Amino acid sequence: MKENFAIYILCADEEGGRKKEALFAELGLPAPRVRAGTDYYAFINSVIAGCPAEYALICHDDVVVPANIRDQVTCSIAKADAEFGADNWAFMGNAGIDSINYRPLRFVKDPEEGPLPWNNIRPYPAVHLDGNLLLVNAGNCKKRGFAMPSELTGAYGYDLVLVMESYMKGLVCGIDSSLFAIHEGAGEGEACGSGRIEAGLLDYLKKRFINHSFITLRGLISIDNTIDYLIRIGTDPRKCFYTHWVQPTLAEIYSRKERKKVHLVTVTDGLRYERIRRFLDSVRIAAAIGAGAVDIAVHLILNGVDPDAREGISAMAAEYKDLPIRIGVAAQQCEKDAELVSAFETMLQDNIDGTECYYWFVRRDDFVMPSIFPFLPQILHERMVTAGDIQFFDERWDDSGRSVPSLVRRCERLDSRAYCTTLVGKQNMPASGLIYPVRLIKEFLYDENGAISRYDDLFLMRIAFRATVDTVPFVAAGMCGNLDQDRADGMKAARESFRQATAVSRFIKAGIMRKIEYDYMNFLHDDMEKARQSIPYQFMEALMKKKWLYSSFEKMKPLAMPVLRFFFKIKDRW
Amino acid sequence: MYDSITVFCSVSASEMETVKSWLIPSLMLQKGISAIELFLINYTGKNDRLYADDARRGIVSVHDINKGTPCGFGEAHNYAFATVNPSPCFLIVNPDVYMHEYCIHELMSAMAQNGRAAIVEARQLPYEHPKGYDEKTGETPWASGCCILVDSVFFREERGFDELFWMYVEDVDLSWRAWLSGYRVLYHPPAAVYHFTGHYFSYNRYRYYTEYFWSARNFIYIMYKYWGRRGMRRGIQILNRLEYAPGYIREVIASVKEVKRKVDRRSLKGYRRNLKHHRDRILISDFNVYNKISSGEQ
Repeated sequence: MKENFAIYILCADEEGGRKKEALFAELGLPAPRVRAGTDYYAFINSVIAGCPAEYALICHDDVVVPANIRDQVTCSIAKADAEFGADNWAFMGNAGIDSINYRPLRFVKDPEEGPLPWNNIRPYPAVHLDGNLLLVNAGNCKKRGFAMPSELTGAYGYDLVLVMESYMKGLVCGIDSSLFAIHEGAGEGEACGSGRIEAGLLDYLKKRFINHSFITLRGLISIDNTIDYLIRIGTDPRKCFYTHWVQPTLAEIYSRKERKKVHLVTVTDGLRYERIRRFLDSVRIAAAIGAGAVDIAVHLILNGVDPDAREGISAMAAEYKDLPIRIGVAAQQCEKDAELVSAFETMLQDNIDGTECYYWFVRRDDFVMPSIFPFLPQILHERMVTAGDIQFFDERWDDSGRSVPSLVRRCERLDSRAYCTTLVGKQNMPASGLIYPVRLIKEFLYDENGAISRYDDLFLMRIAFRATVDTVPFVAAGMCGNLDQDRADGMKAARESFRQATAVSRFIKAGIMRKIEYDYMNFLHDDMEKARQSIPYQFMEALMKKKWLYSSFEKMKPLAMPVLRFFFKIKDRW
Repeated sequence: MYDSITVFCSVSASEMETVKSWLIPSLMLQKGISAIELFLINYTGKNDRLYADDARRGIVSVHDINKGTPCGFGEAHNYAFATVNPSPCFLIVNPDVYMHEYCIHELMSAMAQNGRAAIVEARQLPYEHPKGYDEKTGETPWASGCCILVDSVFFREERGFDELFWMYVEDVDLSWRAWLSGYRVLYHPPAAVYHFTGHYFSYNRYRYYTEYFWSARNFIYIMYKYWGRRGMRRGIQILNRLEYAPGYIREVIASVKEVKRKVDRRSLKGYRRNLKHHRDRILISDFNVYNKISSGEQ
């Protein structure tokens, strides 16, 4: 069978190349084309120019690819084509920096990285790729005239430059778990300090970009860039890499995809008109800011509303002629802790669904943050739940009846990655920050016996355990309330936590804990990085290098996770 | 019900979509006012017409103003004021705001009820501007230029904004000059605007924006303007503590030196002499909060 990709390896010497060829043959892998040398810039150009297939897979000589690499490459190509469009991508890698969060994503096992990754559903657009293994869309590169700059040579910084050159040609780069590999090399460590940037790369960056820093997997590349701030806008040929090249390229690509429809759902008891009005105001601004990005519809679900109040709400909705507002009645009258499931049940009963259709439940009194709307085409996916940050506001209202509180104190911003901390008893993820594709709601709204979840938290936990939840750093919603009152509510919620304990024990029994463990580790990634620098951690690490101790640890692995969790939980006290 | 108000908005062609979809619709929904004259000031100085749609949108009449040369925030508003000559007050507003329906009515009421109020500032939502004010009187050391109602007599007496600032911090300077001239600066929370400023919403953390440069440069300039060389040294010390990229502070200081050459030092003596009467208001500690946040440090 003719391969649709060719494997290329750059080896430092010919001897190493021969060994690599023999190894690939022994494992029954496609024969690699081995080149000797150390100049990755010229190597990539030669691969693109001479590749006999549409795609090329470039590996470092210290990368071990899996035996099913053919399937994985095919899968990665399919995912990239579906996400970005077949004509719009240049490189896919297994590690890099995500363009939305600027967070490191590693689907590679190397000496610096421990846990194996969760398989991601879609590739993430990247602003930097690790060069250990790269899938090159040689066809697109040729069509768009992609070429690595001839003035640069060597192995330093080529993985950043190739991403930059791709975006400058309107091509996206992505990170995909399907390209998982083992990278035996130690990486470049701290090679990105400003004093160690090679002169050629420094020149390259200074000539093309106004940025003072660039984020890479190995840290920030900070440069001493000069900007004449009095130059009028548009006259400086240099541009910002992120806002001029990356964001517009992605926005353009995603605008060509099927338009997504977001149904904003809220439940009201007919009281507190001013809060409903504030929610509708926020949607109105969102519709203005996100105009052209997504279609928006608003659903006000009435729960136990008397006829007078219903008229009042209808009159208010009539004032927002520019918004498609639908008023429905809850399928079943519900308590405050079951509004989400009740609202979704009502929506499904009313047949509000379709492809690329999403429900966004906004709890009563909360409102949406309009700034997230332009990014929704990029971050929503029909097989993933999207979790945005929540900004909590402590506010007071007077009796003026206006849709602004008389006093607002901004409190904490809740990190969307904290949704997985439900596992350890913290209820940090309010419902208003999650956006669900309809197909997942249909899948998870009902429990294993086909009965609808009667409580919001059970539904949320089922989502956290079973579905892929993608977290984004944008504030999705403003959660509002009176702090003192909320503390009282928190106490009430704590008393009801036995339901969660029951649910968790069921999920453990069903053997579906691995995904949430990964999310939890991912959430703790930053903390882990800090903890790794601490003396106790380094001491433990040194001990673990002793083989006998390490083998004991391996035997105790089932216990290791709880211990690690405990360690990170109490590390602040240290 | 008020008769009419003049609104100035300094804007470029690239921001016009925002003006058309947020600002103008929110002005059209204003209650308690009969007519709004919106003047869009083309600060790029290019000849292209900013607004080509219907000149009359409900209670809002839209006009273009163009000085013909690129100008900073202060210069743009000084030019518009001289051209339109609004009376008795006028509103300055950013293009990226959505005004609450009672915003203008509340601002005008506050100015009418408070004698010697030179500037009345609206509250920004969802994130309030992090600065202090007296909850009883509404007095505040300085008002953010995002959405302010300015008394025309005061503006004329003070000859408008200090144009050397170019952009950022000129609102602080104007407020401080109001206090020094015996006027009051008020913060009026019932008047609200939704301000989706880039800092919280869309700024890219790996890019240094022009705004950061002007914010830092003007922070040192205002320190020099009010506290002389000692103030400037203190400003540079503060700037050095913020983690800017290499070479950045050097550029800022070079620019401050350039502006120092342009300033008429004799005019500064008056400010510095009166400072002792306003030690509770003209405070760098309060302003410093703003500066840190403007420059991305939280």
